[in-house]
Amino acid sequence: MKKILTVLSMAAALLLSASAFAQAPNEGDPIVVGSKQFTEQIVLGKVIVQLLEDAGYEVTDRTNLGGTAVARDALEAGEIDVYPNYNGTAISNWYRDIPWAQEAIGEDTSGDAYASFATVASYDAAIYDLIWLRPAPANNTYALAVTRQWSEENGITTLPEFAEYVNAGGEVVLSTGDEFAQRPDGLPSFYETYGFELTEDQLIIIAGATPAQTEQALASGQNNVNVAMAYGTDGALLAYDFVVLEDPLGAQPVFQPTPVFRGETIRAYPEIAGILNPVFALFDNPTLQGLNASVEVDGLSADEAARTFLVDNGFID
Amino acid sequence: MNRIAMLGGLIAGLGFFFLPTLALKPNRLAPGTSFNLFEFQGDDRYLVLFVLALLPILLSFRHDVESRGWLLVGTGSLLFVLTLVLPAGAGRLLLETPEAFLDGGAFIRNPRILPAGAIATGLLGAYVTLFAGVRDLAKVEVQTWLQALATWLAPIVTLLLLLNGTFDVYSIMVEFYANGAALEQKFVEHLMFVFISLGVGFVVGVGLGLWASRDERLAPIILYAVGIIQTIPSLALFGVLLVPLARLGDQSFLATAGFFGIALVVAVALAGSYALLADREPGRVRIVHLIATAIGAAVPLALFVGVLVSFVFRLANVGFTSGAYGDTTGTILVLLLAALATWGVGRWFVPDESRWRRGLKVANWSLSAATAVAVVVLFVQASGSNRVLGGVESLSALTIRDLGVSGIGVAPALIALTLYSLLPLVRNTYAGLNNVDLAIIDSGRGMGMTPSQRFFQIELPLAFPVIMAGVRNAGVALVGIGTVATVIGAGGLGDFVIQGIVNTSIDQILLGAIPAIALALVLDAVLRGVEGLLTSPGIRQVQQ
Repeated sequence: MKKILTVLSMAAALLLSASAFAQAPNEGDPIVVGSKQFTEQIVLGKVIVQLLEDAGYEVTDRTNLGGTAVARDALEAGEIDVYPNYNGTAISNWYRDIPWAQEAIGEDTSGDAYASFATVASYDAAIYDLIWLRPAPANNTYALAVTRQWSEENGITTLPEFAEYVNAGGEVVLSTGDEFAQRPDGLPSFYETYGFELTEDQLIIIAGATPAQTEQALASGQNNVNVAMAYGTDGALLAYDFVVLEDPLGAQPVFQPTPVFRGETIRAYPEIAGILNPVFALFDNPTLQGLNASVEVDGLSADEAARTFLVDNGFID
Repeated sequence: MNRIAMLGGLIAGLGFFFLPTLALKPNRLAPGTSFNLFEFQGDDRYLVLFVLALLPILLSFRHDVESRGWLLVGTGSLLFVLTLVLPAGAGRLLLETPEAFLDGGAFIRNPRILPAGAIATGLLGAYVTLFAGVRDLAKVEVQTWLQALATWLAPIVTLLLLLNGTFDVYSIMVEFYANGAALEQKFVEHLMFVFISLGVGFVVGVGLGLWASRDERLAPIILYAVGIIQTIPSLALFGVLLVPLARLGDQSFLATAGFFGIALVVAVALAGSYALLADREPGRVRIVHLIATAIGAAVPLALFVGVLVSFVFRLANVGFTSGAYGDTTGTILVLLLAALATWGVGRWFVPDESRWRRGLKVANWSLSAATAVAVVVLFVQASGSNRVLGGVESLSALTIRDLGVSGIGVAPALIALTLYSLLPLVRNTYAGLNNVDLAIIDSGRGMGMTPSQRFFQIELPLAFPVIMAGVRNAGVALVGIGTVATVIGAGGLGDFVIQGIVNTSIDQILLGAIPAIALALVLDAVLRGVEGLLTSPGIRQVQQ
């Protein structure tokens, strides 16, 4: 017992002496920046980190955190102060099972970027006290990609042309994740909008597959795959030299990357919006694709990619 | 005839014949074109590999064991090194004019050379051949140091060539140079996850195993409970821990310390009353009393250990990875190596109980003590860093989060890893103690040993190898499981693995996986060494 007491008191002494080392206060708590665990998220997270650091804030870097659930839970629990989010993700995840929200948002899956964004932002502010800043003009939505060779041979660059080809009995094998294949606003929305449908033999559904995996299936041509699920701003599209089929009728919800803050944080530092908004305004599809490619294709670290972009555009030195 | 050598030759030979040796990738992601050994455009020197690969098959028919052993060692070593060196040369040639070897439409940007299947089978075949040769040498009782030299020559030459930059052409090295600084930090983080969770798991697991072995009724419950823990998916565990840990993090330090004090008093009261009253209580009341005591003791203990471990991790992380305390970390390393050296020299090279031996012992003790002091100094330095308690004005403003406890990051990762380490530790402690021959314990009793003498001088030494096997098991498993810590934002080598999977970049996956594998192997070897050194010589003899 004596020994245990000694150990306990030593540990307590350690804790107390450690707290005595606490340094002079900085301005408030550091701002904790998070991100999900894929390239674009990490790059955007690093952009936010570097911009805030450059502006003199103390920042804790928690990018590369985990999936949607972990990042969103962490934001709601106050473990992080901000992470880049997509309005489309909000619609298809946490407003999916709320009927009244679906009703209001449902009309906005038509690809009307502004309406969809405004709805999600207002609900998030009212229900969770989460503030969406200015969305980037990019759309990292689901898309269908084909190889350039196939596109040229068949003269197909848009979804209406693709639908015509399918309905005429053309050979198609689509490699896709299960979520995209089944979600009403995913592949079924393409069917409905463009008037075609793929049979079960024409689909290779990989449970939980990311575009990286479906694209690799297309690149290697395994199982005769000639079409793959992809994201609009994927850096890998460039590496594989794929063509993304255009979606002229906007069948997919819009996924615009946007910094989402806890209300508490943005009220304490309202000037942050002025720092981040001009930068996010530059992130259109080609820019984001280039940034993603510099990480995925060239093997730069996300940190370097973000820094190079911010320095080249004169936001930081 | 040496069948193992024949197997080695077959593995390497068939591999080079049927599998691609290299793949030329137009960029980091695209799959690219594969090349067989025979496709290197009429350059005969690559065929040396094929001949070398088949040589062990011929050599395996030799009758003279000693010359066969040396020839196999030579062939295996040469094959090992050349399997890596020659394709690297071919890779450099491919990279000079990549467009000549790729499809017209390929998007060429920083093309890479991926070592393919035949290199893996080549290395495996070479290693098997080498092993077969060393076995021959052992059979004819060649001196031990020559055997060791034969075994380690090829890996050492390979390592030197690696440091020399001979293999820089391979894509994994390209990835390494792009991420070298991050890799070092992730590796240290990973190392600390493993050590801290293994340390805490050891105390808890061996304690539980000990308890189980003393109480037959409790044993199945404890073993069942740690078994169940093992089946909880890590993601689910992280999800469950996120919110309560976030809440705990928000609490002020003083309030939590107060709560801890009260909980401690309650626990002591419960335990004391149980000790005094249990015999007089009816069965059902006694069980309730016991459960209340267990919970009452577990709450403050878990709180205290959790906060302390998170804080130590934060200190260690800042101290070792920030680079700001390089002098102190360097000193620690030097002292540690010196302590190990004096200990090793004393043990193996100085005859027992000479004056030198005593001097070395004193030197070893003082060096060990100095190492401990240096670690404390590092922690004190690190605790003054902004990254540890930055922004805290006073003790009353200090929150538990400032000590490192939060819903994301290392706190949930350490808790999960510690829980996952319990099963092998508890099971092996229980099995080791339970399998001690009762006759030996009885004879100890007959000699008049007290229960604690019997435990420390009979049961523990006999159970020790089994317990250590559990520690090794847990340590190696933790290196692997540690890669999931990344999904809760705790970092570690899993960062590379998960991102590599998400990007389908094999090089990035390997950049995380290879150090993890190396770490697991080294950890296993070190723990094996510790086990060998701490096992009583008599027991070791019986084992052999």
